[in-house]
Amino acid sequence: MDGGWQVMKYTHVKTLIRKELTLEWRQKYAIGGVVLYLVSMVFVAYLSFEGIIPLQTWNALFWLIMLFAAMNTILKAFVQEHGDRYLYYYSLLNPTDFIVAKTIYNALLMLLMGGLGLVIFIAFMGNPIQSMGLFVVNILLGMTGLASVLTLISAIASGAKNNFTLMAVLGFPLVLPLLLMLIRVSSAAMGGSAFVPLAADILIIAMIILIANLLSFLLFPYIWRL
Amino acid sequence: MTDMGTWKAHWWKILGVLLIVYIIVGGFLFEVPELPVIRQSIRNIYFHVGMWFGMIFILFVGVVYSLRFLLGGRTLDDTRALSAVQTGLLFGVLGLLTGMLWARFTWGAFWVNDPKLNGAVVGIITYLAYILLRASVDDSHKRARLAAVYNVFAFVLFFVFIMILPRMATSSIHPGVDGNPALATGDLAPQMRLVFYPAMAGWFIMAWWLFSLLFRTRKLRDGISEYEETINTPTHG
Amino acid sequence: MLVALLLVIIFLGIATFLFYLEKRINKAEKKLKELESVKNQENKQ
Repeated sequence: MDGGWQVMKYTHVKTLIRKELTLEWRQKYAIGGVVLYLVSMVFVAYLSFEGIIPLQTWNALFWLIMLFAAMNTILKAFVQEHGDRYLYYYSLLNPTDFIVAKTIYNALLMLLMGGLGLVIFIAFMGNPIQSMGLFVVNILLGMTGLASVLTLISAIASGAKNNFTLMAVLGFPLVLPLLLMLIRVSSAAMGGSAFVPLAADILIIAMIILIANLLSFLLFPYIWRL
Repeated sequence: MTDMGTWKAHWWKILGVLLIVYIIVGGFLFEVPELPVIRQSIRNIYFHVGMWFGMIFILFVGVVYSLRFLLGGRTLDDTRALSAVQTGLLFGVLGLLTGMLWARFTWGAFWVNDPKLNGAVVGIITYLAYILLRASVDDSHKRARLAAVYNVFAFVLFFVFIMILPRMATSSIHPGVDGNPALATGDLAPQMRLVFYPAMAGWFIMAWWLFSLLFRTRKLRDGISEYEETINTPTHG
Repeated sequence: MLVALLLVIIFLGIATFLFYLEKRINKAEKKLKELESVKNQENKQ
């Protein structure tokens, strides 16, 4: 079978990430679209709730909007790359460079999205968060986690028809454990919990991220040249 | 099925059938301890838990074949993985139905909003997604690769999900808040183990049997269409 | 008692069906193998 897992080259990974960032910067409409999506989703939520939003609803809304933003953004990671450009990659890179670069890039994008999302949320719907530090840590972990799980799913979905539907169908059950843990931790953070009682939950989230990355790293070489 | 050869090939299927007959009889008629609320409905453990374990077992078999496909590239292994997933789905749905029947008598409703029940639904959705993924790729080589990769990824994450469920399920009314209730030796009355362990074996055998039937049917179908192709386009070489 | 009997009968019905399937599949597998070997020989000639 293809290649196996060659040693990855950090310079390649770095170059790839830089290339993604430049591309993104050039076509600002892509990222602009997602920002607009975030703003309008939050605004819809704001309009439909009038007045005080219960904590649980705030939390659930936040993570759902983040989840869909993540699916939208990460799906593009592979769908955008086609034909000729892939041929070029094959000749230069090995698959592990590619998946590592894509995951890191997606994670960066998601972190940006998470930060923006938090700001927009607070701007529109008020700030009910009591331990902000914990909440931010949770967002950092959560965005990295969403990127880790969804990048491989995006690679799978991009090989099939009905990309977006498939991305949602394949991705939803697999991100659910992560999402439930995130919602748990973030609702505790909203209630003003300290870090220590949640250490175990945060460890579990970190473990999920680790497992998802390891699996993407090992499995991606098999769907690389299709 | 009278000569020795077939007996050697089929004895485990007959054993499986006998085991299931035994657990139906034993499950319904043997003595069980009477606990409040649960009462006689504890007998469902032989069916519900057995089917759930049968599902996990055959899904694991599917992952092994998916891995073998990725490493070896033989299409038959992918066909095996698909058959295993389908068997697993059947067992999952059966497990859910027996669970709902039990819930009707114990909790008063077929369905309650409980983390563990929702977890079971997530499992079923995961594997329905696998079937959907296969349906949305036309090229057979590509389909097999994508499906195998998804199967491995999904199984591991689903397993993680099952492991962390007890944490979220502290408010769960489903038995076994920490770990699995049926396996902890202290929880199951000794006379019930007489039925419970054979029940496990019985459901495992049935799962394997169904899986092999599905696989052979699919292999036959592929073989026939391949044969028809060679008939229609004769190769003179 | 009655329920157990009924379930046993239903299950035995399913099992019989499975054995029947098994037999059909066996037959079909043999048949396909024969056809293929005939075909292969024709190709060789």
